[in-house]
Amino acid sequence: MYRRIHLTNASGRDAMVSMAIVPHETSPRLGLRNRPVSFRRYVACTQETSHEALSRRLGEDYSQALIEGDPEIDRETVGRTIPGSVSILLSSRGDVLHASPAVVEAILGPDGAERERRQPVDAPANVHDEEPLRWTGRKIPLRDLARRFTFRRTIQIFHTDGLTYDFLLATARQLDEERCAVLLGAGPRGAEPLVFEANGRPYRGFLSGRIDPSNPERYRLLLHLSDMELKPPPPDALTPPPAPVAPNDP
Amino acid sequence: MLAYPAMAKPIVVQFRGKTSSFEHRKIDRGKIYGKKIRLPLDPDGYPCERAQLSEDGALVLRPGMVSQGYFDPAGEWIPTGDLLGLDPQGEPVRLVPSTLGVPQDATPIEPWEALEFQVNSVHLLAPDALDPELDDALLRGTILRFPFNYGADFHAETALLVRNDEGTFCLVGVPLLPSWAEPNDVPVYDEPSDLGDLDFEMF
Repeated sequence: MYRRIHLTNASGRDAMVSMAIVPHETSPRLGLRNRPVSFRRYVACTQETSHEALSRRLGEDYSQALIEGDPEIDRETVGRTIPGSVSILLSSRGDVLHASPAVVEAILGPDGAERERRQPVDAPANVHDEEPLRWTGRKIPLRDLARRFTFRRTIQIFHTDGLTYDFLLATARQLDEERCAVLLGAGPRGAEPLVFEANGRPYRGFLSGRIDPSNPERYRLLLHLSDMELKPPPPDALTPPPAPVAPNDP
Repeated sequence: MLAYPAMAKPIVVQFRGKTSSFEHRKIDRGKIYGKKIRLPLDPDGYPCERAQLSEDGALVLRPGMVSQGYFDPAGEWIPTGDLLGLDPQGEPVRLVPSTLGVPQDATPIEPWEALEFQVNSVHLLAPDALDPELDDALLRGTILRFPFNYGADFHAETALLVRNDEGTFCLVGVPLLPSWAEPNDVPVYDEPSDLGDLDFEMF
Protein backbone atom coordinates (compact mmCIF):
# COMPACT_ATOMS: atom_id res chain seq x y z
CA MET A 1 0.00 0.00 0.00
CA TYR A 2 1.15 3.49 -0.77
CA ARG A 3 0.91 6.31 1.74
CA ARG A 4 -2.49 8.00 1.87
CA ILE A 5 -3.19 11.61 1.03
CA HIS A 6 -6.37 13.61 1.57
CA LEU A 7 -7.36 16.00 -1.24
CA THR A 8 -10.19 18.27 -2.27
CA ASN A 9 -11.20 18.97 -5.86
CA ALA A 10 -12.45 22.13 -7.56
CA SER A 11 -15.92 21.66 -6.02
CA GLY A 12 -14.53 21.34 -2.51
CA ARG A 13 -15.36 17.60 -2.33
CA ASP A 14 -12.66 15.61 -0.56
CA ALA A 15 -11.34 12.07 -0.92
CA MET A 16 -8.65 9.92 0.61
CA VAL A 17 -6.33 8.63 -2.12
CA SER A 18 -2.79 7.22 -2.44
CA MET A 19 0.51 8.79 -3.30
CA ALA A 20 4.00 7.61 -4.24
CA ILE A 21 7.27 9.18 -5.30
CA VAL A 22 7.56 8.95 -9.09
CA PRO A 23 10.54 6.82 -10.18
CA HIS A 24 13.15 8.41 -12.41
CA GLU A 25 15.75 7.35 -14.92
CA THR A 26 18.70 5.79 -13.08
CA SER A 27 22.44 5.75 -13.72
CA PRO A 28 24.21 2.53 -14.70
CA ARG A 29 25.61 0.66 -11.70
CA LEU A 30 29.38 0.54 -11.31
CA GLY A 31 31.17 -2.79 -11.42
CA LEU A 32 33.45 -5.09 -13.38
CA ARG A 33 32.55 -7.25 -16.32
CA ASN A 34 32.02 -10.89 -15.27
CA ARG A 35 33.31 -10.26 -11.76
CA PRO A 36 31.07 -9.37 -8.82
CA VAL A 37 32.01 -6.39 -6.70
CA SER A 38 30.46 -4.91 -3.61
CA PHE A 39 30.40 -1.39 -2.25
CA ARG A 40 31.72 -0.99 1.29
CA ARG A 41 32.50 1.71 3.81
CA TYR A 42 35.70 1.12 5.70
CA VAL A 43 37.83 2.71 8.40
CA ALA A 44 40.45 4.97 6.79
CA CYS A 45 42.09 6.22 10.00
CA THR A 46 41.43 6.34 13.72
CA GLN A 47 41.48 9.09 16.32
CA GLU A 48 44.93 7.88 17.42
CA THR A 49 46.34 8.29 13.90
CA SER A 50 44.79 11.66 13.13
CA HIS A 51 46.99 14.70 12.49
CA GLU A 52 46.11 16.13 15.92
CA ALA A 53 47.01 12.90 17.74
CA LEU A 54 50.25 12.44 15.78
CA SER A 55 51.26 16.06 16.45
CA ARG A 56 50.65 15.57 20.16
CA ARG A 57 52.60 12.31 20.22
CA LEU A 58 55.47 13.08 17.82
CA GLY A 59 55.61 16.87 17.67
CA GLU A 60 54.49 19.25 14.95
CA ASP A 61 57.16 18.13 12.46
CA TYR A 62 56.61 14.39 12.33
CA SER A 63 57.42 13.85 8.64
CA GLN A 64 60.60 11.92 9.46
CA ALA A 65 58.61 9.62 11.71
CA LEU A 66 56.29 8.86 8.78
CA ILE A 67 59.33 7.91 6.65
CA GLU A 68 60.95 5.76 9.30
CA GLY A 69 57.81 3.94 10.39
CA ASP A 70 54.09 3.95 9.78
CA PRO A 71 52.71 5.71 12.87
CA GLU A 72 49.78 6.99 10.82
CA ILE A 73 48.47 3.48 10.18
CA ASP A 74 46.61 1.51 12.81
CA ARG A 75 47.04 -1.98 11.35
CA GLU A 76 44.42 -3.50 13.63
CA THR A 77 41.67 -1.12 12.60
CA VAL A 78 42.33 0.59 9.27
CA GLY A 79 40.55 -1.19 6.44
CA ARG A 80 37.90 -2.72 8.68
CA THR A 81 34.52 -2.79 6.96
CA ILE A 82 31.82 -0.74 8.66
CA PRO A 83 28.63 -2.74 8.14
CA GLY A 84 26.52 -0.25 10.04
CA SER A 85 26.79 2.73 12.33
CA VAL A 86 24.65 5.13 14.30
CA SER A 87 24.90 8.90 14.39
CA ILE A 88 26.22 10.42 17.57
CA LEU A 89 27.26 13.88 18.72
CA LEU A 90 30.63 14.84 20.11
CA SER A 91 31.20 17.78 22.39
CA SER A 92 33.62 20.51 21.37
CA ARG A 93 36.22 18.61 23.44
CA GLY A 94 35.65 15.47 21.38
CA ASP A 95 33.74 13.50 24.05
CA VAL A 96 30.67 11.46 23.16
CA LEU A 97 27.54 13.27 24.30
CA HIS A 98 25.37 11.01 26.50
CA ALA A 99 22.50 13.45 27.02
CA SER A 100 20.33 15.34 24.57
CA PRO A 101 22.01 18.60 23.59
CA ALA A 102 20.46 22.04 23.67
CA VAL A 103 19.56 23.05 20.13
CA VAL A 104 19.55 26.54 18.62
CA GLU A 105 18.46 27.60 15.18
CA ALA A 106 20.91 29.69 13.16
CA ILE A 107 19.58 31.85 10.34
CA LEU A 108 22.07 32.23 7.49
CA GLY A 109 21.71 34.88 4.81
CA PRO A 110 22.12 34.16 1.09
CA ASP A 111 25.80 35.10 1.47
CA GLY A 112 26.19 32.31 4.06
CA ALA A 113 26.79 34.72 6.94
CA GLU A 114 24.94 34.08 10.19
CA ARG A 115 22.24 36.69 10.79
CA GLU A 116 20.51 35.46 13.89
CA ARG A 117 20.29 32.71 16.47
CA ARG A 118 17.05 31.76 18.14
CA GLN A 119 15.25 28.97 19.90
CA PRO A 120 13.87 26.53 17.32
CA VAL A 121 10.12 26.20 17.09
CA ASP A 122 8.80 22.77 16.14
CA ALA A 123 6.61 22.81 13.03
CA PRO A 124 4.19 19.88 12.75
CA ALA A 125 3.46 18.13 9.47
CA ASN A 126 0.30 19.37 7.79
CA VAL A 127 -0.08 16.70 5.10
CA HIS A 128 -2.06 14.03 6.94
CA ASP A 129 -5.39 12.20 7.06
CA GLU A 130 -7.37 14.71 9.11
CA GLU A 131 -7.05 17.88 7.07
CA PRO A 132 -7.26 17.66 3.27
CA LEU A 133 -4.97 19.54 0.92
CA ARG A 134 -7.21 22.20 -0.52
CA TRP A 135 -7.73 23.24 -4.12
CA THR A 136 -6.89 26.94 -3.85
CA GLY A 137 -8.21 27.84 -7.31
CA ARG A 138 -4.91 29.57 -8.12
CA LYS A 139 -4.02 28.15 -11.51
CA ILE A 140 -0.86 28.62 -13.48
CA PRO A 141 -0.29 27.59 -17.12
CA LEU A 142 2.10 24.64 -17.36
CA ARG A 143 4.52 26.61 -19.54
CA ASP A 144 4.80 29.33 -16.90
CA LEU A 145 5.05 26.81 -14.07
CA ALA A 146 8.01 25.03 -15.69
CA ARG A 147 9.79 28.38 -16.16
CA ARG A 148 9.13 29.90 -12.74
CA PHE A 149 9.88 27.11 -10.25
CA THR A 150 12.29 24.25 -9.83
CA PHE A 151 10.85 20.87 -8.86
CA ARG A 152 13.10 18.40 -7.09
CA ARG A 153 10.30 16.14 -5.93
CA THR A 154 7.19 14.89 -7.65
CA ILE A 155 4.47 12.75 -6.16
CA GLN A 156 1.98 10.75 -8.18
CA ILE A 157 -1.60 10.54 -6.93
CA PHE A 158 -3.57 7.31 -7.40
CA HIS A 159 -7.12 6.16 -6.78
CA THR A 160 -7.86 3.53 -4.17
CA ASP A 161 -11.25 2.31 -5.46
CA GLY A 162 -13.86 2.98 -8.15
CA LEU A 163 -15.22 6.12 -6.51
CA THR A 164 -11.82 7.75 -6.10
CA TYR A 165 -10.96 6.72 -9.66
CA ASP A 166 -13.87 8.84 -10.92
CA PHE A 167 -12.85 11.66 -8.58
CA LEU A 168 -9.23 11.73 -9.79
CA LEU A 169 -10.03 11.09 -13.46
CA ALA A 170 -12.33 14.14 -13.48
CA THR A 171 -9.67 16.24 -11.75
CA ALA A 172 -7.00 15.14 -14.24
CA ARG A 173 -9.34 15.79 -17.16
CA GLN A 174 -10.12 19.31 -15.96
CA LEU A 175 -6.45 20.22 -15.52
CA ASP A 176 -5.49 18.61 -18.83
CA GLU A 177 -8.15 20.54 -20.74
CA GLU A 178 -7.11 23.82 -19.11
CA ARG A 179 -3.37 23.07 -19.70
CA CYS A 180 -2.61 24.37 -16.23
CA ALA A 181 -1.72 23.25 -12.72
CA VAL A 182 -3.50 24.29 -9.55
CA LEU A 183 -1.85 25.31 -6.30
CA LEU A 184 -2.79 23.04 -3.40
CA GLY A 185 -2.64 24.47 0.10
CA ALA A 186 -2.51 22.87 3.52
CA GLY A 187 -4.10 23.86 6.80
CA PRO A 188 -7.72 24.69 7.64
CA ARG A 189 -7.98 27.40 4.98
CA GLY A 190 -5.55 25.91 2.49
CA ALA A 191 -3.20 28.86 2.81
CA GLU A 192 -0.14 27.05 4.13
CA PRO A 193 2.67 25.40 2.18
CA LEU A 194 2.86 21.61 2.37
CA VAL A 195 4.96 20.08 5.18
CA PHE A 196 5.17 16.29 4.92
CA GLU A 197 7.11 15.59 8.12
CA ALA A 198 7.46 17.33 11.45
CA ASN A 199 10.05 20.10 11.04
CA GLY A 200 10.25 19.18 7.37
CA ARG A 201 10.84 21.60 4.55
CA PRO A 202 7.75 23.53 3.40
CA TYR A 203 6.88 23.05 -0.26
CA ARG A 204 4.53 24.74 -2.66
CA GLY A 205 2.51 21.94 -4.25
CA PHE A 206 1.13 22.26 -7.79
CA LEU A 207 -1.21 19.57 -9.08
CA SER A 208 -1.12 18.82 -12.80
CA GLY A 209 -3.18 16.28 -14.67
CA ARG A 210 -3.09 14.48 -18.00
CA ILE A 211 -5.32 12.06 -19.80
CA ASP A 212 -3.69 9.42 -21.99
CA PRO A 213 -4.28 10.61 -25.58
CA SER A 214 -4.67 6.99 -26.71
CA ASN A 215 -6.99 5.91 -23.89
CA PRO A 216 -9.27 8.45 -22.19
CA GLU A 217 -9.79 6.11 -19.24
CA ARG A 218 -6.17 6.44 -18.15
CA TYR A 219 -4.99 9.45 -16.17
CA ARG A 220 -1.87 10.82 -14.56
CA LEU A 221 -2.04 13.25 -11.63
CA LEU A 222 1.25 14.65 -10.43
CA LEU A 223 1.87 16.84 -7.42
CA HIS A 224 4.97 18.93 -8.18
CA LEU A 225 6.76 20.14 -5.06
CA SER A 226 8.89 23.25 -5.15
CA ASP A 227 10.94 25.06 -2.56
CA MET A 228 12.71 27.38 -4.98
CA GLU A 229 11.75 29.94 -7.58
CA LEU A 230 13.89 30.38 -10.65
CA LYS A 231 15.56 33.70 -9.99
CA PRO A 232 19.11 34.92 -9.54
CA PRO A 233 20.54 35.12 -6.03
CA PRO A 234 21.32 38.58 -4.65
CA PRO A 235 24.76 39.71 -5.91
CA ASP A 236 26.46 39.20 -2.53
CA ALA A 237 25.49 35.50 -2.64
CA LEU A 238 27.52 35.00 -5.83
CA THR A 239 30.81 35.51 -4.05
CA PRO A 240 33.08 32.77 -2.74
CA PRO A 241 31.62 31.06 0.36
CA PRO A 242 32.40 32.63 3.76
CA ALA A 243 34.13 30.99 6.69
CA PRO A 244 32.04 28.49 8.68
CA VAL A 245 29.70 29.67 11.43
CA ALA A 246 31.63 30.68 14.55
CA PRO A 247 30.39 29.27 17.84
CA ASN A 248 28.65 31.51 20.35
CA ASP A 249 30.68 32.36 23.37
CA PRO A 250 29.18 30.45 26.28
CA MET B 1 27.64 38.80 -16.96
CA LEU B 2 27.66 36.74 -13.79
CA ALA B 3 28.81 38.41 -10.57
CA TYR B 4 32.25 36.81 -10.78
CA PRO B 5 33.90 34.86 -13.58
CA ALA B 6 32.66 31.31 -14.10
CA MET B 7 35.52 28.81 -14.07
CA ALA B 8 34.06 25.91 -16.03
CA LYS B 9 33.81 25.67 -19.81
CA PRO B 10 30.64 27.23 -21.23
CA ILE B 11 27.36 25.51 -21.91
CA VAL B 12 27.03 25.46 -25.69
CA VAL B 13 23.77 24.63 -27.45
CA GLN B 14 22.83 24.34 -31.06
CA PHE B 15 19.32 25.44 -32.00
CA ARG B 16 18.15 25.22 -35.61
CA GLY B 17 21.75 24.92 -36.74
CA LYS B 18 22.98 28.03 -34.88
CA THR B 19 25.28 27.87 -31.89
CA SER B 20 24.87 29.83 -28.66
CA SER B 21 27.16 29.82 -25.66
CA PHE B 22 26.50 30.60 -21.98
CA GLU B 23 28.60 31.19 -18.89
CA HIS B 24 27.01 29.33 -16.00
CA ARG B 25 26.99 29.48 -12.23
CA LYS B 26 25.38 26.84 -10.04
CA ILE B 27 22.79 28.27 -7.68
CA ASP B 28 20.65 26.73 -4.97
CA ARG B 29 17.91 27.60 -2.55
CA GLY B 30 20.31 28.77 0.15
CA LYS B 31 21.92 31.28 -2.22
CA ILE B 32 18.53 32.83 -2.99
CA TYR B 33 16.73 32.80 0.35
CA GLY B 34 19.42 31.94 2.90
CA LYS B 35 18.73 28.98 5.16
CA LYS B 36 18.01 27.77 8.66
CA ILE B 37 20.22 25.23 10.34
CA ARG B 38 19.76 23.58 13.71
CA LEU B 39 22.90 23.51 15.82
CA PRO B 40 23.18 21.08 18.72
CA LEU B 41 25.24 22.68 21.53
CA ASP B 42 27.37 20.89 24.10
CA PRO B 43 27.12 21.73 27.83
CA ASP B 44 29.73 24.49 27.33
CA GLY B 45 27.57 26.16 24.68
CA TYR B 46 29.75 25.24 21.70
CA PRO B 47 28.41 23.47 18.59
CA CYS B 48 28.65 19.69 18.71
CA GLU B 49 30.39 17.69 16.03
CA ARG B 50 28.46 14.95 14.28
CA ALA B 51 30.15 11.54 14.22
CA GLN B 52 29.32 7.85 13.76
CA LEU B 53 29.55 5.01 16.26
CA SER B 54 30.26 1.62 14.70
CA GLU B 55 27.56 -1.02 15.18
CA ASP B 56 29.67 -2.92 17.73
CA GLY B 57 30.21 0.27 19.72
CA ALA B 58 33.98 -0.08 19.44
CA LEU B 59 34.82 2.85 17.18
CA VAL B 60 33.94 6.51 17.17
CA LEU B 61 34.26 7.65 13.57
CA ARG B 62 34.71 11.36 13.14
CA PRO B 63 34.41 13.06 9.73
CA GLY B 64 37.34 12.02 7.53
CA MET B 65 37.89 8.68 9.28
CA VAL B 66 35.66 6.71 6.92
CA SER B 67 36.29 5.96 3.30
CA GLN B 68 34.37 3.90 0.79
CA GLY B 69 35.03 1.88 -2.30
CA TYR B 70 34.37 -1.22 -4.33
CA PHE B 71 35.83 -4.61 -3.37
CA ASP B 72 35.89 -8.02 -5.01
CA PRO B 73 34.76 -11.16 -3.13
CA ALA B 74 38.35 -11.78 -1.99
CA GLY B 75 38.37 -8.37 -0.30
CA GLU B 76 40.65 -6.72 -2.84
CA TRP B 77 39.98 -3.03 -3.37
CA ILE B 78 39.10 -2.13 -6.97
CA PRO B 79 40.69 1.13 -8.16
CA THR B 80 38.03 3.59 -9.27
CA GLY B 81 39.59 3.84 -12.73
CA ASP B 82 39.01 0.11 -13.29
CA LEU B 83 35.28 0.33 -12.65
CA LEU B 84 32.87 0.22 -15.57
CA GLY B 85 29.30 1.40 -15.92
CA LEU B 86 27.07 -1.65 -16.37
CA ASP B 87 23.59 -1.85 -17.83
CA PRO B 88 20.86 -4.03 -16.21
CA GLN B 89 22.16 -7.04 -18.22
CA GLY B 90 25.67 -6.53 -16.84
CA GLU B 91 27.07 -5.28 -20.13
CA PRO B 92 29.46 -2.30 -20.06
CA VAL B 93 28.09 1.04 -21.20
CA ARG B 94 30.27 3.59 -22.92
CA LEU B 95 31.87 6.48 -21.08
CA VAL B 96 30.01 9.71 -21.78
CA PRO B 97 32.37 12.69 -22.17
CA SER B 98 31.66 16.08 -20.62
CA THR B 99 29.30 18.18 -22.71
CA LEU B 100 30.74 21.49 -21.49
CA GLY B 101 32.22 23.51 -24.32
CA VAL B 102 30.77 21.09 -26.88
CA PRO B 103 27.68 22.13 -28.90
CA GLN B 104 24.61 20.08 -27.90
CA ASP B 105 21.45 19.87 -29.98
CA ALA B 106 18.63 21.65 -28.15
CA THR B 107 15.09 20.63 -29.06
CA PRO B 108 11.81 22.25 -27.98
CA ILE B 109 9.63 20.19 -25.64
CA GLU B 110 6.10 20.43 -24.31
CA PRO B 111 5.61 21.98 -20.87
CA TRP B 112 4.36 18.69 -19.39
CA GLU B 113 7.64 17.06 -20.41
CA ALA B 114 9.52 19.76 -18.50
CA LEU B 115 7.41 18.97 -15.45
CA GLU B 116 7.92 15.20 -15.67
CA PHE B 117 11.52 15.85 -14.76
CA GLN B 118 13.50 15.74 -11.52
CA VAL B 119 15.78 18.73 -11.18
CA ASN B 120 19.09 17.93 -9.50
CA SER B 121 20.87 21.24 -9.99
CA VAL B 122 20.16 24.70 -11.32
CA HIS B 123 22.58 26.91 -13.22
CA LEU B 124 22.14 30.62 -13.75
CA LEU B 125 23.23 31.48 -17.29
CA ALA B 126 24.77 34.57 -18.84
CA PRO B 127 25.04 34.55 -22.65
CA ASP B 128 28.49 34.78 -24.22
CA ALA B 129 27.11 34.49 -27.73
CA LEU B 130 23.37 34.24 -28.21
CA ASP B 131 21.81 33.45 -31.57
CA PRO B 132 18.83 35.80 -32.19
CA GLU B 133 16.57 32.89 -33.13
CA LEU B 134 17.26 31.14 -29.82
CA ASP B 135 16.84 34.44 -28.00
CA ASP B 136 13.44 34.89 -29.61
CA ALA B 137 12.34 31.31 -28.87
CA LEU B 138 13.29 31.65 -25.19
CA LEU B 139 11.54 35.00 -25.01
CA ARG B 140 8.35 33.37 -26.30
CA GLY B 141 8.52 30.78 -23.51
CA THR B 142 9.94 27.85 -25.48
CA ILE B 143 11.49 25.20 -23.26
CA LEU B 144 14.47 23.42 -24.78
CA ARG B 145 16.02 20.09 -23.83
CA PHE B 146 19.59 18.98 -24.47
CA PRO B 147 22.07 16.38 -23.15
CA PHE B 148 24.25 17.54 -20.27
CA ASN B 149 27.23 15.98 -18.54
CA TYR B 150 29.37 18.13 -16.29
CA GLY B 151 32.25 15.63 -16.14
CA ALA B 152 32.92 12.41 -18.03
CA ASP B 153 31.03 9.49 -16.51
CA PHE B 154 28.74 6.66 -17.50
CA HIS B 155 25.48 8.57 -17.59
CA ALA B 156 24.60 11.83 -19.31
CA GLU B 157 21.96 13.83 -17.53
CA THR B 158 19.36 15.93 -19.29
CA ALA B 159 19.17 19.72 -19.17
CA LEU B 160 16.32 22.13 -19.77
CA LEU B 161 16.95 25.65 -21.00
CA VAL B 162 14.34 28.16 -19.85
CA ARG B 163 13.95 31.89 -19.55
CA ASN B 164 11.64 33.99 -17.40
CA ASP B 165 11.51 37.64 -16.35
CA GLU B 166 14.30 37.02 -13.85
CA GLY B 167 16.89 35.44 -16.13
CA THR B 168 17.95 32.44 -18.17
CA PHE B 169 18.43 29.11 -16.42
CA CYS B 170 19.68 25.62 -17.13
CA LEU B 171 17.93 22.92 -15.07
CA VAL B 172 19.95 19.72 -14.89
CA GLY B 173 18.31 16.45 -13.90
CA VAL B 174 16.72 13.24 -15.03
CA PRO B 175 13.37 12.46 -16.65
CA LEU B 176 10.69 11.00 -14.39
CA LEU B 177 9.04 7.75 -15.41
CA PRO B 178 5.41 8.04 -14.33
CA SER B 179 2.87 5.48 -15.48
CA TRP B 180 -0.82 5.82 -16.29
CA ALA B 181 -3.42 4.95 -13.69
CA GLU B 182 -6.31 2.85 -15.00
CA PRO B 183 -9.77 1.99 -13.63
CA ASN B 184 -8.82 -1.29 -11.98
CA ASP B 185 -5.10 -0.86 -11.82
CA VAL B 186 -2.55 1.53 -10.39
CA PRO B 187 1.16 1.48 -11.19
CA VAL B 188 3.36 -0.44 -8.78
CA TYR B 189 6.61 1.36 -8.14
CA ASP B 190 9.62 -0.39 -6.73
CA GLU B 191 10.06 1.70 -3.62
CA PRO B 192 9.24 1.63 0.06
CA SER B 193 5.49 1.93 0.58
CA ASP B 194 5.61 4.31 3.52
CA LEU B 195 7.16 7.72 2.94
CA GLY B 196 7.16 8.20 6.69
CA ASP B 197 10.03 5.72 6.93
CA LEU B 198 12.14 7.80 4.61
CA ASP B 199 14.06 10.97 4.87
CA PHE B 200 12.03 13.08 2.49
CA GLU B 201 14.98 15.43 2.07
CA MET B 202 16.90 12.62 0.40
CA PHE B 203 14.73 12.44 -2.72
